[in-house]
Amino acid sequence: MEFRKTHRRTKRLLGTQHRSHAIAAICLLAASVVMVAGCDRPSAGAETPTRGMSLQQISKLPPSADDADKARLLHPIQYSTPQTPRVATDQVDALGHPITISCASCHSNFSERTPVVSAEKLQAFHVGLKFQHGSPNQQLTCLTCHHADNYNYLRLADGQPVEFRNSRSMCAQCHAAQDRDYEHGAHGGMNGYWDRVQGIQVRKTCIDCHDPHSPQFPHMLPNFKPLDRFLEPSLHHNQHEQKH
Amino acid sequence: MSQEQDTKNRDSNSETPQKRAGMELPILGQVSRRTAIKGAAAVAGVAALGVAAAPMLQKTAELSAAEFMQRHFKELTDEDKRIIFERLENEAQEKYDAEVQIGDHPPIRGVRFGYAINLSLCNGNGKCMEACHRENNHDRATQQSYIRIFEMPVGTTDFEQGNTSYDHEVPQKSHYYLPVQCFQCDNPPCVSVCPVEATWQESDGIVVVDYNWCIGCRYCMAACPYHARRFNWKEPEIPADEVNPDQGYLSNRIRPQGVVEKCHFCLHRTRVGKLPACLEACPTGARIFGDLMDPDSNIRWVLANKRCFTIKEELGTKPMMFYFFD
Repeated sequence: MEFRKTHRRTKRLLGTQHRSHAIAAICLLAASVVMVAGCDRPSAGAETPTRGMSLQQISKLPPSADDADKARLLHPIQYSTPQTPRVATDQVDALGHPITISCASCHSNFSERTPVVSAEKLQAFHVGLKFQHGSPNQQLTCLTCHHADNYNYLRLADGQPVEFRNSRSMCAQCHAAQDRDYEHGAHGGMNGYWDRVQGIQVRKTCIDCHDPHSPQFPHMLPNFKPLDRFLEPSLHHNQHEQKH
Repeated sequence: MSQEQDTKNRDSNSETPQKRAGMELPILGQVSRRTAIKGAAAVAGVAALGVAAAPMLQKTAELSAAEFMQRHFKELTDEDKRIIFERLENEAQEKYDAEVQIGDHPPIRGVRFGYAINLSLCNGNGKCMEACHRENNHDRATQQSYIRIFEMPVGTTDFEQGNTSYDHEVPQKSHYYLPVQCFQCDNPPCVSVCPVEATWQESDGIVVVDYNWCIGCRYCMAACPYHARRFNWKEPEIPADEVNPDQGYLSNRIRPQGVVEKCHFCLHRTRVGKLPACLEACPTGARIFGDLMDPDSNIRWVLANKRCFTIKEELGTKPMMFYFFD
């Protein structure tokens, strides 16, 4: 009950933020349109300006003084947003659609809050779940990330509920370096456009690549190899090693 | 001085000859400087025409039209290009039974491409090689690709100790994986050795090859210290339904036999703002691509915040491919 109250308060706050954000966004958009109208793509000249520069010099180039450059209309980055998980039942509704239930359907009935550290101990449900997250000396439990009062939510370290769609903010509590890299496009990869003036950039989120219960990136088996002449079996590295 | 002023001055000069005397000696029959220059220009023009036309006059029967054009050429107009692209598209239709669009993708002004690879993330799974293979219409039989991944023992960047033919589970312990492709060097040795200028660097840094100009001497392959260039020993074989129809003249159009080709940072994609195919295919997110001239770009953030290095830096080739561990 306490949680629900808190949550409603958060929601109301969020609502006001949304309104002010929307107003700010409209103002920004209008300003950008006015500024962009008068300018084309920034032209740094046809010459190659970094020619002859060292790596250090390139990385220390001053920010462009061209304000119009900043005002370019950029396409949004489309982030992947995880859904709140639903559990499948083997029943269908009147229209024949499969019935799914929320996590809270079961979990809100449990009064016991034992911090489970190993999925192997789970007998009734979640059988076969591989749980391997965190090092042995900082053992994580289900309730480290799942909200004990409402299983439709995740929880931050301070107990604040987080929606599944915002799970990245929860991951970032421990994996700050990765989150920072992700923020700058240096982690997680992307699809679409590098030039956001021309198109939308699509980004994955943490759990698209990492299983949250067992986040170690999986091992893989390469299945494509160019057939170079110097890679013929007689010169194959492994066989070469075996001979010696 | 504008035309009007000029005329006015001349008129005033004719009215007052004494004024004129100060400017020009009043010698009868003197050829004015203006006339002299005109005359000289006319003579030079005729001479130049003669020189230009000389090869035409010397053209002999054994010199084919194609050879003649290779010795004496002009810059292509848009119309010329259109005709060439149409011919190449028809050729692709005939040879590969595939409907393709060949475009001319000019560099974006003020953009200079940089690429970075996070070697801590790359696990050598080879998806980039496969994506390159498909995107760039490589020969299916040889499974050609512009990328090679070296499995390297930890603690060295010596390629002699690397292995590109590994076929086991990755990543292996105490190894790291080093993907290598054309680095689009800022001081490209492959360009300076080309005897026919069939390869050059464009303003966004991409080193391109004109496959119709290349004579297949492979000097560039010998000059490249990164083994980034490939030779088409045979005409590529690609099933019609696997041909990538989105093609560029200087990038992924199906290459003829006997010419050199190389990674071009997918210029038919990147020059319209898209990401390269190898980056999109990477399941580890190890690849970072962007504009070095944009201070807010991902690549600039990486250069400023990661400890980047380039391969064989001591050769002075200035690669635009930056590697880092984190």
